[in-house]
Amino acid sequence: MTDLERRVADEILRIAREDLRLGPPPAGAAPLAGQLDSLALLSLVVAVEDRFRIALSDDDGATTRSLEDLARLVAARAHPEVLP
Amino acid sequence: MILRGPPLPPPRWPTLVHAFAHAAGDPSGITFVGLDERETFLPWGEVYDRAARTGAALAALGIAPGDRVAIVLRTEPAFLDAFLGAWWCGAVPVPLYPPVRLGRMDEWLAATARMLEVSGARIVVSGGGTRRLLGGAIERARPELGCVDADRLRACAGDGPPAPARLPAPGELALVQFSSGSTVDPKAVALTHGALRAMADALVVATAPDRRRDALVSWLPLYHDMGLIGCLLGPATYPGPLVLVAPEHFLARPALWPRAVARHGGSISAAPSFAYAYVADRVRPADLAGLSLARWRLALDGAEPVSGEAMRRFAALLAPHGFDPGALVPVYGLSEAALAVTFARPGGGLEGRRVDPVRLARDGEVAPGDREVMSVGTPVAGVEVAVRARGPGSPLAGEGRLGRIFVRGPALMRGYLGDPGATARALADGWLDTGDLGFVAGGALYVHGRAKDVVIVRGANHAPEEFEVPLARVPGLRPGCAVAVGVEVDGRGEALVVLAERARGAAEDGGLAAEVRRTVLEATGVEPHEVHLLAPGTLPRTSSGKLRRGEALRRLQAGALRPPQKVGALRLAAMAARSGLAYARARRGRPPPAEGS
Repeated sequence: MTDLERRVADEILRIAREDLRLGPPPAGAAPLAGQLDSLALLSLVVAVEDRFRIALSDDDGATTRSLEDLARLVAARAHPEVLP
Repeated sequence: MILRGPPLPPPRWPTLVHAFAHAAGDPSGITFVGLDERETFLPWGEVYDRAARTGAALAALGIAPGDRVAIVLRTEPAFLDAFLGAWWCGAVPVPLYPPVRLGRMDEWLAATARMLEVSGARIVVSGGGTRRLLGGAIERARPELGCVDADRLRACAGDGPPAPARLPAPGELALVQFSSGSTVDPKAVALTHGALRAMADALVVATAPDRRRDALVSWLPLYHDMGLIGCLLGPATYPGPLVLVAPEHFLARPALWPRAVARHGGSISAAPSFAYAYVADRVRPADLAGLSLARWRLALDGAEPVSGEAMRRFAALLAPHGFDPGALVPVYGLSEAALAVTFARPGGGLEGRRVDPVRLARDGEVAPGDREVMSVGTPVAGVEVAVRARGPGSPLAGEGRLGRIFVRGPALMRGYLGDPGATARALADGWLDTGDLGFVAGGALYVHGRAKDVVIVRGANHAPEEFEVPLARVPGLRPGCAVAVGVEVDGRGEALVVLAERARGAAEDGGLAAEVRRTVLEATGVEPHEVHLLAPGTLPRTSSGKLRRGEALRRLQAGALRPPQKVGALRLAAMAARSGLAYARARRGRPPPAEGS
């Protein structure tokens, strides 16, 4: 992961912990689906879309499995102004 | 006990297709609310026009009356195009759930393929990214006419005025909805136009909508009976204003629901108990600043066991905004009955009856205790409810005795599509065996527990096998010796509990339970509320060795889920002696068995 991707991952973890109060933070490379139930996962996706002003499509959903995948996708797609 | 609802009034329309055609002339319509609260309004006339174009295109593709049209779309105008378009040409819509975002794609594709096969869909209507992802399911199920894009379908119908809809007879098949979506045992509930009309009429009696004053607001999924029949098809028949929020948007931002109710002067809404608890947990007072919810007169609570605690917390959060706690009304129903079976009385209070769960589970007897059970009221119009001691035809259970709930009425399903065995088990002599357990007290029904194998989480039905099958690959468990059951958790609705037997010699540390949790979560998106690891042989089985989930749950609740007693030499001798005595008693009372028998 690049520095930017790591900063994005940290920000996603902050959202999960502080904004959504999701309990234990998801770990980097493990599948998110094994760590969050479908409701928590959905909340996280929408909160990430909101924070970084991007829209994740169903196609993205098929290829994004872990926190690291999600951070990479956000770093590649979000406008520099909204990145940490 | 038998409870009877009021008589059903004369039908307003022969079918809901007739009602939709009539609604086209009404200025009210459907407002779609986005995640950012931007709104799109479609008057009923435009809903009908779009449906007519889609229906014409489906007919041009070769869809004929009676054909099944699977629909995989979110809460969006295209869903209505496809659903009503199928009705327009006499076909039978089959709504299926779209993918959960991020992950579990393989499970979704497998479940979708299975439901396409079971429903016998000739075509699938989808759109956008969802349609691109459906390839695997289409390849497996091979619907004859493939998968088409809803927007392109509507666009290719041409510019001329659409022809009128084909008006079906009440006895024709109208809808196939899955009572639980899974790869293992999907149950395709087949409902006729007559059943849907009867349900819409019963809902109108129960909710007494005033089309000039009432607005219905719903975030419930349109592939589920409560969202589709209760919140979309019902309002179309009077017709009146309807406000729709996508379920994934509500789940991400629960404040969208009360905010939409406030903006639109919403007066009727419905949800499972988990949603009332979810709002109470997640919505902050600042999200509701300046809003009035004083017009909200019916907040129906059903689709899973009703939690009084969830309703009280919800009412407390919204009270400063003029919300009337009397609006919260427990209801009971199931997709096999086309939705509603009973409604409690508005203003009936938010306190339930407190019973002893152990005596209820052990003796079937309602005695005072600390488990709150909410009354779900009395049958809706045209419906009868019988609580019987055991299975079909068994004696009626008396007041305050736990029994099995049966339902009779004009809105029952025709059967499970393509499954005469399951249909015969569910329907006998005009009565539907709901598989739910309950009791009657004070003239009202209380639902508590169930005899059928289903786990209801957040209002969605799951076959237990969904949770059990992935556990076969967990080392340290006895293969095939795990059951998934649903239990009521105070204030939270129903939750998943896994009971699994350890393999002989497996360690008794917390690592195995954590692995069970992780495996179930990853495969299904549902996290077990509790995992009980049991000694080998603890789970009750039938004589043929099949696990008995309901009995396992009953024993768990009665504190009687124990491993089999070890049989030592002394115990074996005592058992042999007892057995010998029993034989001797039997010989005294009966002639000896014939030789060779």
